[in-house]
Amino acid sequence: MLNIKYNKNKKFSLPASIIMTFFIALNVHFFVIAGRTGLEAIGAWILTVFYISVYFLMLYTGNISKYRRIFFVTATLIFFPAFIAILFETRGSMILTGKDVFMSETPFCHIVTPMTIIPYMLFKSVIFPAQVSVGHASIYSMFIIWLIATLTIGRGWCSWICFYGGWDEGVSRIAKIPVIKLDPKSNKIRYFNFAVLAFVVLASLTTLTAVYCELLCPFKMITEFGEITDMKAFISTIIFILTFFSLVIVLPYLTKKRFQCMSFCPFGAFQSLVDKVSLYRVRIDTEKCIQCMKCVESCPTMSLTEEIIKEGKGKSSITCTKCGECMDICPKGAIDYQFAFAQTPKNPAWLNLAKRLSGARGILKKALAAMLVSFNEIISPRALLSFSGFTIGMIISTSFGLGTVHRLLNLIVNGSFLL
Amino acid sequence: MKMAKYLIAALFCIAAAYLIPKTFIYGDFITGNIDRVLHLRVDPRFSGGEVLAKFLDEMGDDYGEGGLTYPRHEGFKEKGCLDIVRYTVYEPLVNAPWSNEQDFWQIAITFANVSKAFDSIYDFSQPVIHVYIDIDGDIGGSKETAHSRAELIKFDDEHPWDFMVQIDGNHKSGRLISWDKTIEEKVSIYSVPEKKTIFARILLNNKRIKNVLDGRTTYHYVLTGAYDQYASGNFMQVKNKAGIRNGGGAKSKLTPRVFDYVAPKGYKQKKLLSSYDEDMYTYATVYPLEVKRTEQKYIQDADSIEKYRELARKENENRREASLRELEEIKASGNRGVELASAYFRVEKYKEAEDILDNILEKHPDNSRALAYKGSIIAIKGGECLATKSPAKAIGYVNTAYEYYDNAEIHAQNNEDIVVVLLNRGNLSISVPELVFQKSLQGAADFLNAAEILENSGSADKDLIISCYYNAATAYERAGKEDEAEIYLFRTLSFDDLSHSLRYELVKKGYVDE
Amino acid sequence: MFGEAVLLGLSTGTFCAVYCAPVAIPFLFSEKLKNGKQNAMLVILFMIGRLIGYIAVGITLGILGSYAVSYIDPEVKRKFAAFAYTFIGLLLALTGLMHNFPGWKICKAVKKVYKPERGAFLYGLFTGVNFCPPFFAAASRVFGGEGAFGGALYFLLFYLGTSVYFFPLLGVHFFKKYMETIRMVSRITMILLGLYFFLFLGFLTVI
Repeated sequence: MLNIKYNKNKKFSLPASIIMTFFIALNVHFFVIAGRTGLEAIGAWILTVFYISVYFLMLYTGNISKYRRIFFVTATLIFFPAFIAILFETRGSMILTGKDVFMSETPFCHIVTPMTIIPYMLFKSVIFPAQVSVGHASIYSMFIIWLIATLTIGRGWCSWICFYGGWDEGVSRIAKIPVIKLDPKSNKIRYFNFAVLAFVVLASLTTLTAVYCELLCPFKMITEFGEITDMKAFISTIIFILTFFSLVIVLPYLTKKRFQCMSFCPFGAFQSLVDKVSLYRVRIDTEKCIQCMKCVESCPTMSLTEEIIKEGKGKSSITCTKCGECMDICPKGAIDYQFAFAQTPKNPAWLNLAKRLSGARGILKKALAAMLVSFNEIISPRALLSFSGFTIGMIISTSFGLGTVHRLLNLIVNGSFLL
Repeated sequence: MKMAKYLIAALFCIAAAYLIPKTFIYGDFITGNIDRVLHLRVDPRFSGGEVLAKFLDEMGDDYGEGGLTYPRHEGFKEKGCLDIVRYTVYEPLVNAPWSNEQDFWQIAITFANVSKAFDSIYDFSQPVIHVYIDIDGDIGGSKETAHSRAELIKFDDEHPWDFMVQIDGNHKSGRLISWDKTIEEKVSIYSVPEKKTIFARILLNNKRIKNVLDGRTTYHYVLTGAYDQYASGNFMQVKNKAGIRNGGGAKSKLTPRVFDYVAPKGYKQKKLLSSYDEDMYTYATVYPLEVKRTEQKYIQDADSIEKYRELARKENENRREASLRELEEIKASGNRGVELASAYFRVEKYKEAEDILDNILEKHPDNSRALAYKGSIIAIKGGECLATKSPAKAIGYVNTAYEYYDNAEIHAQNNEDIVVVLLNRGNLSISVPELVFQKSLQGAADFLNAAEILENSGSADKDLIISCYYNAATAYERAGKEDEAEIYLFRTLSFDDLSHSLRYELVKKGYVDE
Repeated sequence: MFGEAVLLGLSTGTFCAVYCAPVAIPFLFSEKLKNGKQNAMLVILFMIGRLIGYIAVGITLGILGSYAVSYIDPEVKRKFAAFAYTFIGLLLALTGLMHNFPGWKICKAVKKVYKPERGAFLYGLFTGVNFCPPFFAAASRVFGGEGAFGGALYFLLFYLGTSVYFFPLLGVHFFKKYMETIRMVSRITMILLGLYFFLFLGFLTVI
């Protein structure tokens, strides 16, 4: 008899996994392979094989978070080498020059978005010197990506799409047990990034420049940074070096939490605030929950607290990044994604029919039963969220990710990482 | 009920998931539409302030009084390196963000060409630029040049200059001096070869210069000469015949050593620079550009849009009829070559054109023109694919089309062949989505190349040359290079007899119908 | 003429909001407001402080004799701004620390003298000292010879015009649902903003 009970570990059936992977493959083909030639094409194929196998395994094993993490961390790791290489190729160093600024050629990253909204509304201009509409790192392309991501997976951005997030996600998984155990009740840690958000929005309003980029961003360490010309630049250099090593490397390692994303990143806080419009939520089935608190322990952003579980609220807090960690670890399969506007039915009619058919004789009936099971899986929130998240994540990291693979191949063949 | 709700939600989410990649594919279209609402632009404080005034200067007028020729020195062989095409004045800026200068007043000079020929500090070597500025309300001023026997000109009596800015690529920084030499300040220079522009930032350190902060009117004389380290004011001499260290073509001893000067509206450079008087031994008088706070650029004019829409429609009809007649004539003449295929192509009978081209290519696979037209037909198929929603296929077609063009370019026998290739490839480059292909810059280069070849060969097809410049401007616009686009739009406008369809495009863009 | 003053205030009030919101918002949200009345009281005190700050600047410029020049010298403006931000920064940081770490010695000392009403007035005063460009436009008009009474009236009307942008602040006490969290976040924001203002807009611009 077919195993049609929705598994505790939420494995997808083979046909459903294949069908979903086929659709992902179409997207990967278009965004990664199409139009590439030479070494780049070989790189594109390597990347494609990686993307497709990871996605297939994600569904087939049911370990959404584990394979998401592999995808997410890899996407981050292959993002930066090409980014830095391009800086070296075009301007010879990672230092942002005065010319880049007044030519408006600074790449626009998503973290800038919340700082630019109010000044734009007041003065009709963007307070960041980036290209408006041309190229991958332009204001409009980032805006469109942000809009699509927000309307679909909301704060899921932080676990599926963000090309910085892979750093502390990766580091936070290195240690076996946390050296420092954070008090899960500490609201000050959980909501600190909201204060950072409020600070950068208000300070940016005062000076009409993107204060977070100027002063705090840890990721200047691995992207670009200003030249030290005065005391202010000197201090901001110290700050970004400190924030990078402390928030992105040391603290995630010691606490096993995504420290930078959880308590410092203003964009994360911003996404939490706009998450209401997204299509998916994380829900806890309070009937199934045995209050073992494994999810609380595993949550990388402290979005599940003992209070939430004990009070039977049935949902994570607004800071949830929809990473799926709690679902993978829950022994009862009590936590799952859900559509924002509809509850998942416990025994849908099509699954009941499949149950009856699978017991019956005849290959056709069994095939029909398998089809209905696949249907149930494909229209499930977890399939659709992972599909959406994976697609956007793949698209946003492809241009630089492929650049890195391409350059690595070039290093092997021609002996140079720079093109 | 619960199940129906679930199914509807699922359907909605499936639609969203399906639309994600589409949003990227149709990114250009979406961006364009969002832009109509949002009008995003970067805070001008980052790029040196709001543009206060822009003066376009004719391209190719780097002949001074009319006949000046560049010095024979190797470094000056680059055409247009002394040819100013635009002078831009910005609003003075205070507390500039992310900048090495805090308070400054930026000006920018765009050349037809910039190149590094000598071992200069900046990316431009050949020109020396003097900008003389008269600030309203400043006491005193001079009507003579800052260095005696430098430019060999004098200034308008009404507007004696108060400050002079010297910009050249061979000194570490530019220099600002007051007419009475009591003020001398450094001027920061940024050269941007990609934009063929030199930016200068006049620091607002001195009280008298700070006066510009209240938005008073200023008057600017913009002059450029050939750089000479030892000459007075660094303006190289001009003589009758060009030498290694002097320009040529001078009609008189009093010929200004100015290769290009941005004349104000209503004045002609040639006339002003040759207004010297040999008998009285007086220099030529030049007049300034007026920079006011209330500079209105272009105005949309609904009436002329409507007028030209109609004229353009008629013109296109006539053209199509002419093309049809031409097709019949070629058919009747028994010509089965590329001419027939291109005639079919022009009346949009692609199937027929393709059959002929395939025929030709079977026998002569190296026929450049056939390859070029075949490329365009393949590209059109790509366009159809995009319309029928199979973008991956469309990309394939477009890439194949480019392969055909490149092949055609290799096998081109003469200039005419090359022009055919360039125009075909250029047209494709300005019609494929920029976000996916990023071909606009190549398109611009193709059109400019074609225009140059056509002009050099003395082509009679003026319309074609004009459309090349116009398309180059469009291509630059698509690539987000508004500044370059503007220069070639100005070039287009400088022609006398523009076709109605082009006029229509221009008035739509907001260029006043004159 | 007086309509023009109100219009000038209305059209340029966004600048004033930009200068004042970063101070007023975290301050108001960090206080435990009893009711709308107290909220309104604080906003009014802030506004009075701001008016006095403006007048103080006007008088100082008058004494220095610099109001006669028709432009505003960026150097002079920066000095006023640095002065204002040093104090605003200190004030914000200290109150923020007082809220977050009541056990600290310095915080106990601050708590003794601190009252929300006093805070509101001081914040207003120093944001007023850090005057915004439109203020200068109006001020130079006043000094440009409208006669003492006419000038004062013109200036007052301009000031009222800009004040429209402060009305939203009267609604702070309506955020009841998540007030606890918002207050906590605001109090941390105050420290961050305070340090930033003090160090980057105040201290470092002077040295």
